Amino acid sequence: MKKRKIKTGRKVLLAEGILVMGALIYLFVSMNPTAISPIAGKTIFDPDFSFEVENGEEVWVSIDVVFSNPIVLKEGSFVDLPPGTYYWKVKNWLRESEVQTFVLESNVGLNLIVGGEKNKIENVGNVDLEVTEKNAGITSSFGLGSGDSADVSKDSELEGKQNE
Amino acid sequence: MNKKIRKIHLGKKVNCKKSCSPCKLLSMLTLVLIFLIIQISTISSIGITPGRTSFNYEPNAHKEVSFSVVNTENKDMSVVLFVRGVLNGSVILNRAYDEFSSTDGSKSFVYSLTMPPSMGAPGLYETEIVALEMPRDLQSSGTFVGATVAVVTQLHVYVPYPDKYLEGKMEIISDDDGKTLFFLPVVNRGKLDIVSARATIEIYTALNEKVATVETDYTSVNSLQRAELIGEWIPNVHPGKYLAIATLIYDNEVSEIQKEFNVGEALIEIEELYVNDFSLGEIAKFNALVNNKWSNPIKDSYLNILVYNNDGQVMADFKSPNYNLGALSKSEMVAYWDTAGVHKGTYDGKLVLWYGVKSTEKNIELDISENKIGVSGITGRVLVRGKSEGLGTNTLIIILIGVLIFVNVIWFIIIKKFMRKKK
Repeated sequence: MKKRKIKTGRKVLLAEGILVMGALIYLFVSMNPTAISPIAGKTIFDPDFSFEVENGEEVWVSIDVVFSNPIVLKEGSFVDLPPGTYYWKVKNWLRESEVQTFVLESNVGLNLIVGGEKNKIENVGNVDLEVTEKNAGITSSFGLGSGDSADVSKDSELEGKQNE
Repeated sequence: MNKKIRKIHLGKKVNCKKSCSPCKLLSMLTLVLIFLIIQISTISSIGITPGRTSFNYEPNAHKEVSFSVVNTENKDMSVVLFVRGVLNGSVILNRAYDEFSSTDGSKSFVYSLTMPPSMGAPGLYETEIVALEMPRDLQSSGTFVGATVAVVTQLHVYVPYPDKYLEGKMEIISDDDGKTLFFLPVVNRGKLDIVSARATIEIYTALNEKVATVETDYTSVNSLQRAELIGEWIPNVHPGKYLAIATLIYDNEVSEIQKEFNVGEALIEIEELYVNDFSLGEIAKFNALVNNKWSNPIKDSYLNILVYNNDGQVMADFKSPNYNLGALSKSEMVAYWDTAGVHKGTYDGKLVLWYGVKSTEKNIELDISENKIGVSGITGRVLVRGKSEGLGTNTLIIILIGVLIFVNVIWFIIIKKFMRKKK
């Protein structure tokens, strides 16, 4: 009788051990942080893009593969990255993802909004621009930061190029 | 225009069928509105990527460079391309004209560069490939008069200097924790290797007071190669605009780079809103005390107060004049509301403070009596309502494992005690 009880106890213990091990393995696999987007090696032209991750708490971005001076981003973070090549990975409290890389390519973009007394020019690219305005034989130029806008004369010829 | 259309709907509660006269009027007004919107917001837009391609000069070298013209607004357009600059005779475009339809997000182009057998003095030689946006029917109409927009992809060819020449620029990135990184990509444009290069970055306020000095590591930069110098700074200063002056020091040579940057974000807080000497039916003077926590002056800031009736409709919408707010200081702003026709009672409202493209909002409650307007909600408790996240599967599993381990430990202790007693 006693032996049977002990055997049953051992069986329960074994079953529990298997259950705990299984759960731990599942946790280890399912909590693997994954870097989804931008995909490895992608070249990005858009001034606005977002990191897509799975099971991650932090996104680490760096200009070198060893992450010597990382930029640490959390959900909802915003950061202005200059054009260049970047390495990134996702971290959670337990593990971190593989290191991915992406290239942020410089993008020169101008929007001219026509209307009102003056037209408005917007820098919709990801680099600061030098904008040249030609109107009635007069040429002038001004700097326009990424995301900034400025009033310009009607019927101007406008040209934008990377500033630095 | 919107108000007129709204009145027709609200006044008569018309059941719109095929050709009732209010509907005709409404259609006409809508057409006028659409026409006006089109007139106001005609957009010319174009993009080009990359903005720049750089090469070191090699006699007779042949390079092929691809670039893309971006149809930023996804519209029908033509693009005319041309080359200008020092090497325009050495650059050949694969095509100088193309048409985009609204479905074309971008189109790729290629130019080839054959470097001349010899070039002049060391330094930078600039060439520009210009993409000019034109209307779609340019080839049939032949001419175009009006505003034009063009973008440039630059071609930079560097003839090396005979000695050491370090060229750099500075990029400044701030993360959420306030850490600021100074990235200095540097290129040795000289024929000799640089053994040791570093940078000292000094940070100044708008009043030219030095607030910090940041040192980067040392690095070597071989001839015509690129390296990165990085400095890190944890700011302990007021939010505002600052100037970083980086001094590049390399093998006893020195050069300087400057860049303006922001620490934190422009922030203004509304601390108080009150109305003095009020009589119902007359003009109420709203005084707001605002605190500029940005260490630079903020121009053209104004208040906008909205008052809602019991149906949640806006019954008053009034603004203050524009104010220039001094750096790190408190200012008073005034807005006036004509309360003629307004009844006593409690009304919900919204207070919006605009500064640049940013705004601060507060929900307020106005308690209007015969000779008093009480404003609440300015300094009140902020209530954050949100959907609470349920326990995830992983969290449940972790809790379950914890419980199992705990139960097993207890179980073992009990069994051991039981066995000892038996023995």
